[in-house]
Amino acid sequence: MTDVPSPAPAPRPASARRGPRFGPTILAAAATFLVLFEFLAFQLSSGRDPALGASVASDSKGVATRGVVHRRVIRTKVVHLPRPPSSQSGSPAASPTPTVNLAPAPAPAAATPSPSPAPAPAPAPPVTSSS
Amino acid sequence: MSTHDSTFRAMGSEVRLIVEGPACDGRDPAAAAAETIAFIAEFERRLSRFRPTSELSRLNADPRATVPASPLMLDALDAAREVAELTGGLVDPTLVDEIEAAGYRHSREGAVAARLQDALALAPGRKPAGPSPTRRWELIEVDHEAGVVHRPPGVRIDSGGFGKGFAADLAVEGLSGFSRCVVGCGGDLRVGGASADPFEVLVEHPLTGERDQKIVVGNGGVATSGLNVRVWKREDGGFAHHLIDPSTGRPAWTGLVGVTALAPTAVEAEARSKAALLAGPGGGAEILRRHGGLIVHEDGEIEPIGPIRLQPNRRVVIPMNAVAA
Repeated sequence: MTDVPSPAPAPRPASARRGPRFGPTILAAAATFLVLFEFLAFQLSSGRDPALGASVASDSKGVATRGVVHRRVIRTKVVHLPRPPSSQSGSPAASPTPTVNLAPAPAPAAATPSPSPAPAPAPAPPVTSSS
Repeated sequence: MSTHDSTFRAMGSEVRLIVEGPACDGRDPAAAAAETIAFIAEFERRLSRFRPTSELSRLNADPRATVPASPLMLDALDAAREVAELTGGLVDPTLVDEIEAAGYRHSREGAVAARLQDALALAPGRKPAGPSPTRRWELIEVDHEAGVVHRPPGVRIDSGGFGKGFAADLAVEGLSGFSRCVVGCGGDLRVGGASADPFEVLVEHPLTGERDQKIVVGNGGVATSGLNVRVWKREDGGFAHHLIDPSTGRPAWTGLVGVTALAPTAVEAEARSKAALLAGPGGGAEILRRHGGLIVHEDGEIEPIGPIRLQPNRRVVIPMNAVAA
């Protein structure tokens, strides 16, 4: 038996020797996060909140806008506006209704003490003189 | 309370009428004042010596010894006699001839009086006046039942010595239902009414014209006689006035130029003021002593006599802050 020298171990292929690297993994994860974050942020800013659902958000926005417009037109301009001018003017020409004629116009005059008629001045003293 | 206050001309003088309501009989002051004004006009129409158609002028011209007369005329002649009796004949209602001889034949309404200081400078010596020895006023007899007056034809009667005061008294009697009233005919005023509130009456000085004295007058009369209003210059250069001395038949110059008298009635106040002026400083004070009055001497001095509530007529200034408060 002869001693045969043992051969030197063959180098391992590079691919086999490389393990997972930390940096690219972090970069990939961050990039993915930023992309998703920007997408969701865009959706929120445009009113499409994915947590509320696309159909619900759209319907509520449309109804609210129409309701404000309808209240302004019907109640403020058609129903309520004619009353204040008639009750504040107090003039028969502006509002011929009895409530306006009897309304508060005389009340302030009665409440103020100044309109009471001033007492007539006392007559000047009579004079006795040669006649 | 409503008040009527008016001034108008009648009997040759300014007439002042003040009527304060309410009246106990519900009359309106203005309506009562209108009745009073009408009465005074009727009084003048009947009793003026200067109206030829007046009842007094017709009586004076009537040749009969007994003449029918209206109730107003009979009452007036009663007043004339009472005035003469009260003054002992100093205020004599029968001096028509004498006053016409002095130049007072027609009304002096609108005539400008002469300056009294000039008249005093040329006047004869001062002496008290006296009654006429003839005492013609005693010849006047009034019969109310028969409605006639008896007097000798030719005895003429002048209402100048009692007419204004008598008219004021009658007018106030007609206003007796009101709370207060004043009727002033010329210088002769009568204050009446149910209220006890007196009137303040201003007294005009005959020489200065100032009204710097005032008398507080309750119900009663106040009258002023003076020489300053009815004084005129005669054709002979002398001066005359309307207050005749019965003893001489000529204007009296006694040392007084004005007298204001108080009395229960205006006609008595008028009689006392004229009599006091005719009596002069000494006798005049005695005539005024009972009810009070003022004597104005020729030098302008004012002498209060008897029970008189005389106050200076000062202007009262009320601070504005007192008014605002």
